[in-house]
Amino acid sequence: MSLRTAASRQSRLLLNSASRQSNNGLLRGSLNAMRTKTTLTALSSSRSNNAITTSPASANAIRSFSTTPRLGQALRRTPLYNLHLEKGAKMVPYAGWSMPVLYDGQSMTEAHNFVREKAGLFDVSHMRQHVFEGPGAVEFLETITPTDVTSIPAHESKLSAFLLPMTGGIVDDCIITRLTPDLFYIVTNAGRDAEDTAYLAEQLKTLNIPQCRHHIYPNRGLLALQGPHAAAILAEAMTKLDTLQHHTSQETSESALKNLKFGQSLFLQKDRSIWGFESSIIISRGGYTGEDGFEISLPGELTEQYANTILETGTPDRVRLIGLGPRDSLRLEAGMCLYGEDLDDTKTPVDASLNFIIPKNRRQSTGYHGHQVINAQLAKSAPFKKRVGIVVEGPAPARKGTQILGPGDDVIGVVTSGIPSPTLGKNIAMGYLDSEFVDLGKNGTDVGLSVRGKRREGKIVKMPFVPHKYYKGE
Amino acid sequence: MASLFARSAVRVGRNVMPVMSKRAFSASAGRFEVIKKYTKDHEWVSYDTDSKIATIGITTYAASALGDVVYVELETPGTALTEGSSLGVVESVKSASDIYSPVSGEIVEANDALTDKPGLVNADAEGEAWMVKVATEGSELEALMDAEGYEGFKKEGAH
Repeated sequence: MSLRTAASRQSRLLLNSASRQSNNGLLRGSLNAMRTKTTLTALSSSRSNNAITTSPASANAIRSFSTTPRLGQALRRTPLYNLHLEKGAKMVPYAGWSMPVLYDGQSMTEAHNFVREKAGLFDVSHMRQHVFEGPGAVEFLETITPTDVTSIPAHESKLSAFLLPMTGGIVDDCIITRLTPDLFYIVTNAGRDAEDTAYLAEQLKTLNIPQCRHHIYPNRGLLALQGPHAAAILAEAMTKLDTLQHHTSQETSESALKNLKFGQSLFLQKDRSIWGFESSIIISRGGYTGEDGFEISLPGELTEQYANTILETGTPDRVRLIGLGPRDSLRLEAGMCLYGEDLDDTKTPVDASLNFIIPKNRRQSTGYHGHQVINAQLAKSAPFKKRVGIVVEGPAPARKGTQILGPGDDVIGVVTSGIPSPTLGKNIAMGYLDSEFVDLGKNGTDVGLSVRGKRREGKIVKMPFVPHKYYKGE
Repeated sequence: MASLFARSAVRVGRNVMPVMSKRAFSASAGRFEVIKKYTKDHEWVSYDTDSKIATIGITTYAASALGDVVYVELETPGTALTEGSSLGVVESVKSASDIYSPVSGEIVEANDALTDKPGLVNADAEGEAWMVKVATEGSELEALMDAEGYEGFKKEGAH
């Protein structure tokens, strides 16, 4: 026995420790105050061949579909699997998928810094892509999430969460993008696929809202291009990609991106005569690093071509493939949650300090799951926890599971994610204060952290740890 | 047990004579008592059968797998170790890894240089970045792998 991952104490060596890392949604952070984008694309609901469809009537059919492998089942591969191997990726099992954690010749810190200084291309095709459509879609989504779905302008996205009935616990966090009045594109976590699938099927069946159809698109790709050079590289790459060129024919790709602000999306259709989600390309401005950047949802068969074009356009001086390892350190610096670490279904959005995902006009609503608990927590008439950011003094990082201590060494909470921040050169962590101690959760409050039995000093700070650099227009 | 081990140590020493000969001539006056062994958890132990001091660190392979080491915390001299007890922790950006002692004994020296320069672990894992020296009878060493065995083990682990 010896070198073990202290945080989990299960895998014998660090060599596998990266498998704990990362994944998760796009467009995290404060997605509020975004302007309406008016280029509403009329998208008919042509049923695609490859979509998996759930409706109240066929709610049970979906249960048989899951990407979570049973024992002995092979890991799933994204459309970029071969490219990852070609680029010397160290592949690890993640949520039933074989995913790159780091590429040949990279260190965690170098790869992390490269994204902050230049640009990184991430394969996030393991994430689940859904469509909810029909006249009942708004009502359905406003029942299972706290989001004001009615008010989302077309081609804009909101961070949201699927909630458990009664308790308001977070089943998964997600990004909801409105494509047309009745059509919503939603991205959820790979690691929650089985739970999401069961939950959505159950909700569709129980709520039985007429005309809300659910489709899952398991064969689409999802790329994230993140970093200060992302916009310039993508604008240039788009001129080389016929599809994108064609569909921004009204404007140059450069001006199309210039007009695309954080939280907004471009919906591009390969052939205007065949409307449908299946063949569409969606470019959303946002991401999971805190940098300016884009997430590109596209048909699986186009994914490798697009990735290669972006990499060739940017050249290794400006853009590199980046794996799940740095993705985790980047998102933590940006103050964003990773489901399974910082979020679970015993926590409501209020516990998770995600109050901004519950707009004012929904705080009195009795129409969404968990409103009994959540509205009371918002009114401070029910206990709630508080997710806080902590900067740890001294050289020892405070990892997941580290106890947060009050002035008298009493335990007041627990760390859920912690790393040495490559950007700041300091140890940062996020964690939860127990409900009795939320008053201590003010910026600047001194706390202790019990690292291997020793009290280390720390301070509660405002998140993000590293300022967001979202593009809000010129 | 001790005498049995001493014999086997000498035998191992002879086996690796081509590698050890330089040191033998320059430093230890023709004795071949320093043996180097490896654990399945990617540590190395260099044991001097004369002084009965084991020097312990993590292998170059482990350091590379860990990535950028940002912090090393070691138990202090005087700490009694049993096989499997923690002698320290290595923290990288990606994870915290306990280092569990492959031998029983008492720490006589900890490498304080690693406190200020944790990056030494990446730069010279099997040299300057030794972690602790332990006074031990070394009875656990025989079960560990020699260099050749460890090479084979790494290859197996890669699949």
